[in-house]
Amino acid sequence: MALDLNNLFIQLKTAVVNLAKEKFKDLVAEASSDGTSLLHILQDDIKKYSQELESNQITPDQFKILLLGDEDLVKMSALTEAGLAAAAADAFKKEVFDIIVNTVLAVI
Amino acid sequence: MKTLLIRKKQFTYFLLTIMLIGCKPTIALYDQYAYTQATSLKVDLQNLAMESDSISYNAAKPDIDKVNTELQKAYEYNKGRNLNSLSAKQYGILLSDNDFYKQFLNNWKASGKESEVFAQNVSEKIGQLMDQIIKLENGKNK
Repeated sequence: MALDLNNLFIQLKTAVVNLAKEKFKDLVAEASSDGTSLLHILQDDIKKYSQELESNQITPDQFKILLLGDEDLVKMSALTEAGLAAAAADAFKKEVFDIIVNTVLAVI
Repeated sequence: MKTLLIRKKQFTYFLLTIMLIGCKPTIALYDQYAYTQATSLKVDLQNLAMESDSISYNAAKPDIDKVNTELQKAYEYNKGRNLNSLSAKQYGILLSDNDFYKQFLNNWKASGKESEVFAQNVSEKIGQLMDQIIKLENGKNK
């Protein structure tokens, strides 16, 4: 029987929402939204790896390793975004100080 | 008139001091060596992953050791730079025994050789991971 990807994603979404309800009683909506967004980001990889697992092109252990790669990618992407935001803030701050110095010196 | 000039000079120094304090960066500046190191490692890691379907782990051990040494050097270099903890953490993920890259090596060791599909997937994923390191370095102020 061929893998029903639509049904798989319905199951995954339900599980994620249930987990959010269990872990974040006061923030269920936010946690559910974060969880389903993550599912959406990983959708293509989950489909690809699930199909390859079903057709025995990869083993269950290899499937787990590839999903671990996605987990690492999410962590590394968050670090990249934090770094880029810090660099942008530094550049902005420098430009503001340049404006202050130039403007004050020009009017004095 | 002289007093006014002295005051203006003092004010200029004051402004420069404020600027120096205010402009203290919160993240390291761009580093050409770190960027070259990361792009070079990306190629080496992807090539290593692609080898895993044709060469046994034992036969590839010298290549694996070489790439791992380069990875360790990149981690140490980035860890030693001021205000560079984010990049160091990214390398830390690649070096962690519980994360993707080391788990791939463990699987390769246990399997002898990997399947072509898995090797291709690993190569793509490791490329995406290295792209994050490269993107961060490239986005730092120059």
